[in-house]
Amino acid sequence: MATSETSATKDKDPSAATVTLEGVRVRLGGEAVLDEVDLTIPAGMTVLLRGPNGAGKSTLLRAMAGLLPFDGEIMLFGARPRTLPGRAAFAFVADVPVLFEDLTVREHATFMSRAYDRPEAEAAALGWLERFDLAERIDEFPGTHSRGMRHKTALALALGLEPGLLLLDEPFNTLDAEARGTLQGALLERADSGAINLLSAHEQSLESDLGARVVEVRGGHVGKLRG
Amino acid sequence: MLRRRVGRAYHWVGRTFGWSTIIYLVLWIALFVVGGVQSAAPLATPIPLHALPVVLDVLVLLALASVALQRTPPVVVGRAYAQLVGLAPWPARRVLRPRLLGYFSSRVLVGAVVGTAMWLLVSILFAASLPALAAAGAAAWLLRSALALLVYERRRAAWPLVAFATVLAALGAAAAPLGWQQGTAAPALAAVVAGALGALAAVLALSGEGEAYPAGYLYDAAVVSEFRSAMLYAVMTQSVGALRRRGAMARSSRRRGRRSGRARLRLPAPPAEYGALGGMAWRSSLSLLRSPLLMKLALLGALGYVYATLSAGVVGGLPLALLGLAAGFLASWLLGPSVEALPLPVDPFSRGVGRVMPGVVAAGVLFGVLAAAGLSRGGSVAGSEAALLAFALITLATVTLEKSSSWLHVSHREWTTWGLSGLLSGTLLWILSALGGPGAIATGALGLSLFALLILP
Repeated sequence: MATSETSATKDKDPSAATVTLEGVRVRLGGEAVLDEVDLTIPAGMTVLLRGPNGAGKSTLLRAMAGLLPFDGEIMLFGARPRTLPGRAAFAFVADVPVLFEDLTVREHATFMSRAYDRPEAEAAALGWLERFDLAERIDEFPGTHSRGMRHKTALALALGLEPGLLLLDEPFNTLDAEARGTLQGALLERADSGAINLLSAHEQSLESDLGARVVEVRGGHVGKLRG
Repeated sequence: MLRRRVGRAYHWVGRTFGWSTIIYLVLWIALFVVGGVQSAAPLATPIPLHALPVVLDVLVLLALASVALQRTPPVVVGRAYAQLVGLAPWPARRVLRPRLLGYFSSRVLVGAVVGTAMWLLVSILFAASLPALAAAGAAAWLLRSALALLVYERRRAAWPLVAFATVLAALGAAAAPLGWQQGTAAPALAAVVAGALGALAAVLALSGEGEAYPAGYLYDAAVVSEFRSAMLYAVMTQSVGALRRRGAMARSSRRRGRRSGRARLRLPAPPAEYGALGGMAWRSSLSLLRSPLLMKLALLGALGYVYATLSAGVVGGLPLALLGLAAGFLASWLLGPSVEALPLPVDPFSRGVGRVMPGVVAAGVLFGVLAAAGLSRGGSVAGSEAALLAFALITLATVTLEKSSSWLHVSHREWTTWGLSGLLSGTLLWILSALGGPGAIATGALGLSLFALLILP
């Protein structure tokens, strides 16, 4: 299935609108955590990584974000993840969201828009923060915010950047019901506009709710796109 | 009970570290200290002695200012002791008395060690031997500790004593500018006065059973003791796995820098056209603005030290190492926060300049003020040249720290990182002294900094 969709974009520019992984291997502490991963994700697709705990889902996302060393090749819209164009192409929200503890939530929005050189991202992030019901708390440091609030902040910042690729590691785990709905809506909007969402999750209903394709990850092996 | 506890502690230390290892290390440290003391030579042009009482009294004033901020109990107890304090049929102060005595004794000891180090430092920088400094250090530390305890306990005598000590210290600091001669007797006089006040405050803290102990003491002590344990754990994990567990170190550093609540100090955001560089510089400025008040005072002290040392014309040996360490410490706070926690598309130039520029500009302004105020009178280097040298050294140290911490993926606030960067910068400045006068050295150092910012990743 993935092959046929990839071939549809091949005639134009094979790399410009896709995310490709070829022969990707990740070894941690001498153990192969991911082995020979080949995956092509075309534009406008939401992909769910599914598998038991410890299967390698987070490792795959972190390797794609350039946070882990890997063998093989990962191309994000034609750029490698550790290069500046590669880093500008995606936003990553880890399962334990990383925020700058010296900045307030509002200052995060400002700083991220400057770091990505996207001035419009500041207002967009503030808009997402409002939708996540955090408008009252944006002048606070995230240090004392709950894990769910920190997750919402990280998601709002990532969504505000409107990256071509959004990498989310178990994004629904800490969210309340309302925020889940907001995030689902955001992911659907993004896919409609041609952006790629790649997320790990355990919920069975997400496949239909998001109209997502599924990739099974098991014992370090990554299956084909299905669904 | 005491003997049993000492015995247990002795066996624990023996099992955990090994007494032979400790003795071996202590011997080497002693050798280094003795070697360092013997190799220390006074400056060719010592700093005028009349500046010494001002420096010492300003330090005492800073210590007294820190007393005013005392919100946590200076003496904390573990769980077992807390039970004794809470359940014993005696007043809490009586149960705590052995702990309080231990607290004061240890502070007197630490003060004496610090005073001895200052005696050595003064003999190098001021070319004067003042053994009374050791006693003055012990007395001042005792006074500070006893006042901190009284302030925490909200005792009636606390603030009058703090005010009295502050007035005395302020008079001491003003003595030289006002023309009151103190000479080498100043440390001895300070030791006697601070010792008497400290003893009085300590006696007050140990006595007064009639006054109720602060109601929240046990809660405060429990929180502080848990926090200290967490800090100790963080330090131990960092020390043990410094090379292998960089991620853990970074996480621990982030946790320690964590803030809470609403932001009180803000800065307007830079215009969007300045991009990543503007964003980085803005964040660095915010970090500098929000650094703790005591840290700002410490930074001012370190800036003054660097300027005074360079105006005295110091090169080579122990003073150069101390100068490098002071520059490294300054750089660790002048350098803006890193962005390593997230994979942001920030190029090395924007990252480097954005992190370095605000702190270096602030330091440059302060050095300019020091030079304009003509505070280097008596030194062998002119005020403006010393300011230029100091600015070049701080710039070099900050750039070195930025590059080294980025390459090694370690926090720039780790003392090993800033210590090494400071020593390296001091050494580079010493090598550059082969170029000639202060102007050439400063040009060389600033050129090196610019090269590192422009070329190195």
